[in-house]
Amino acid sequence: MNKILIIIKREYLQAVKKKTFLVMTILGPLLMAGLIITPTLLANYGKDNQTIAVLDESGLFSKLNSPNDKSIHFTYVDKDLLVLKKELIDKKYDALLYIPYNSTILGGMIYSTSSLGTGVISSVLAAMKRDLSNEILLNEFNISQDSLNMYIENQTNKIMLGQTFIDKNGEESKKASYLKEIQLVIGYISGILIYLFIFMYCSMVLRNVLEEKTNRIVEIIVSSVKPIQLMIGKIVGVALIGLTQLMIWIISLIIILGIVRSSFPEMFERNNTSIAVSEQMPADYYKYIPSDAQNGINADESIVDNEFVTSLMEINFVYLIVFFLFFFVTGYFFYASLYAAIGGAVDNDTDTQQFMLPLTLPLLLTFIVSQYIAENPDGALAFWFSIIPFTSPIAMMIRMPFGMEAVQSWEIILSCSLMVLGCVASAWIAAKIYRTGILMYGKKITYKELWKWIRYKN
Amino acid sequence: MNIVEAHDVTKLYGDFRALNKVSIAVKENNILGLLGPNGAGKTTLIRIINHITFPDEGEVFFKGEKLTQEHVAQIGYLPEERGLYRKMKVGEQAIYLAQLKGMLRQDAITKLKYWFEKFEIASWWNRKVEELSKGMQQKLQFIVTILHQPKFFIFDEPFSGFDPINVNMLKNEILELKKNGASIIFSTHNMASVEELCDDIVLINKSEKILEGGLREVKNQFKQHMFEVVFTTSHEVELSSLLPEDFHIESITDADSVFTALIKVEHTSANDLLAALLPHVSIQGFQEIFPSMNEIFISQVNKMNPMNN
Repeated sequence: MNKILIIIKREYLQAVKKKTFLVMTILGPLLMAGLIITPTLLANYGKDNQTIAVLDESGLFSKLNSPNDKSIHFTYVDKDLLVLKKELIDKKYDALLYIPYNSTILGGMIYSTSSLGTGVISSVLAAMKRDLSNEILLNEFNISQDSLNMYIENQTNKIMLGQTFIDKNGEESKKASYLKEIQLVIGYISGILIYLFIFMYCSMVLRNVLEEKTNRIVEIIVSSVKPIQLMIGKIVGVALIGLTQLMIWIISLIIILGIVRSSFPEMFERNNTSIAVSEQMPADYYKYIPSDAQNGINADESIVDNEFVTSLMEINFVYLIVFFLFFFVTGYFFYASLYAAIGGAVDNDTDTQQFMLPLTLPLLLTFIVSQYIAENPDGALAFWFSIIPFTSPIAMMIRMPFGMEAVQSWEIILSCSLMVLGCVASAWIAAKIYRTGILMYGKKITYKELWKWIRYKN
Repeated sequence: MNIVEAHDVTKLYGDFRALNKVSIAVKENNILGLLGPNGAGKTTLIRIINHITFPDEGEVFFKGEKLTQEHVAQIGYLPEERGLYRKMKVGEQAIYLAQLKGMLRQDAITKLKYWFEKFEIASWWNRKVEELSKGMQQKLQFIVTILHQPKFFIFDEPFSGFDPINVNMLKNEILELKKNGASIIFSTHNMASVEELCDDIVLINKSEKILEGGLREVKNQFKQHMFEVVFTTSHEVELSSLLPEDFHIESITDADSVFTALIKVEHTSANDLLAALLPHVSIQGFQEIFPSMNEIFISQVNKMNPMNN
């Protein structure tokens, strides 16, 4: 045990003292940021053209023009509200603007299945105000320009706009909008983290094992310690290097966020425009909105609340962090053992290629299908990918944020047990290959040869 | 008492029999030469004794106990395939390897300083290994092997990469270790050094032990009854006509009228040869010629492998 510690210490200190460690520590977050930001940008780009169906029963806005904001298009519909809601759930439109007939109150309600981009509400409101003032200006009033302006301002300020979210079962609420996005982002980030960690540090394990072999120092070492101790020492040592790097990233992220927060406090405040809209909404407005959504809505509660925070609160982070750590660690050990075995078996870098492919492919494949897993986290594809130890660390992390409805407890237990079994199996196989391989030089290694080594008794 | 005994050790790699019922014994305070052509199974046997690989059949005993991982700390092993971490500093690396042997850091440093001075590599303590010459790396490896002061050593080709001066220094160190009571397995292809250092030899060929015994005993066993006679003579003599048939002259050379003859003696003794020679020549030197280990090695290995004849 003590000897494993000595090996771990050397492995750790040698790497941490290297320049490459410093470079990776700095480049890592940039790489990560790129990986995360690029899809987000692409996703936002896709959201550019939002179609909002308008059902105007008041007739006031029958000629409501699309907002100046080019990314939003109004399309007029004349169907029953219930039909439209159904169509909204079927994603025929991005949102539905319903303006009911009412003599005293002017305004409408925006229905959507998920959060609309920031500023959509204010754009719609601005469009309504613009059209209303145009409407007023079409009539002739025998009053001064100032009085007219005041009247217009008065009237337009009466326009109320509420927001309601509809989930796929037709349930309506005024919150929970960002949940799906947050679930997706958390899933992808943890998936990417696990993928990157496995990829980067398992390659490091392979390189370090290979280095010992090509240096011919390995026999000197295994004359003092057992090969399995050396292997474990290397794998744990590299894991600590990776965790150190991760810790540095997390701590610097917290520090940077702290600095940004104190330098630009306005970035973290609520969206003032949205709040202003909602605060003007009188309590009785909802009487005129024929919807179940009225239940439990208090007027003094802002409709466009800090949805992001509310959604975040719905995620069980303790549960996610526990499983993230579990899959992070087991996924690494599962692959690291196999990479160590390859490093021990081959003689030089070029020979590693043929054995690397079967190890990189499952991870890549998981990433390719991750979109389908996220779309259908309780589907068959998601299930099979999350019980195979080769793919489960990433597949499970993509599914887990969707909560218990998507991943049932027995699935979690099955996945975790198979992962642990997978680690034991890979460590056992790796130890067999490693022990024979590290002392074998100048032999062309084939899968058949590896199979023979696995079957050696001692 | 025997420090290490291997009893009928057999090692299989799949269908390949790397060792077949090989037994050896290393006597206390003796140097055992482990000889054999490449691929004979020497390294496999050494690894088994080092508890790196394990026999399929047979057992190994260390000081009378069955060999376990605990005994490994009492062995100083210098493998044939040996290297060092190239990017690591010399001193740091030596400390690391010593710690793996179970030494405490401070103890390791003190002893390393002593050996670094002795082997004249003290100034390299803080340099990277890749800056060292091959000879210096070999010195470092040797130091690390003996640093934890075991009483049993295995040296596999210890002289490779050394210049003659360093070979000599190393030989003296090995003899010094023996003088201090150590027992050693010495594996090499350099037969001259076997004759200088070894007390016993074991010859392995094609996974089997084909010869073993004390160095003198083995040489005795293979002696050709050959005698070297150095003589001068006042008048021309035809030696072959003077000697009876039992003596066969292999060669005769003349250097400034000092003749050296190699004479094979069959059926009789050296005394008879002398008696036959004395009336005719004045003898300056007379000695029996034993076969060299080199000759024994080649003849024994070739005997098993007719292709080489």
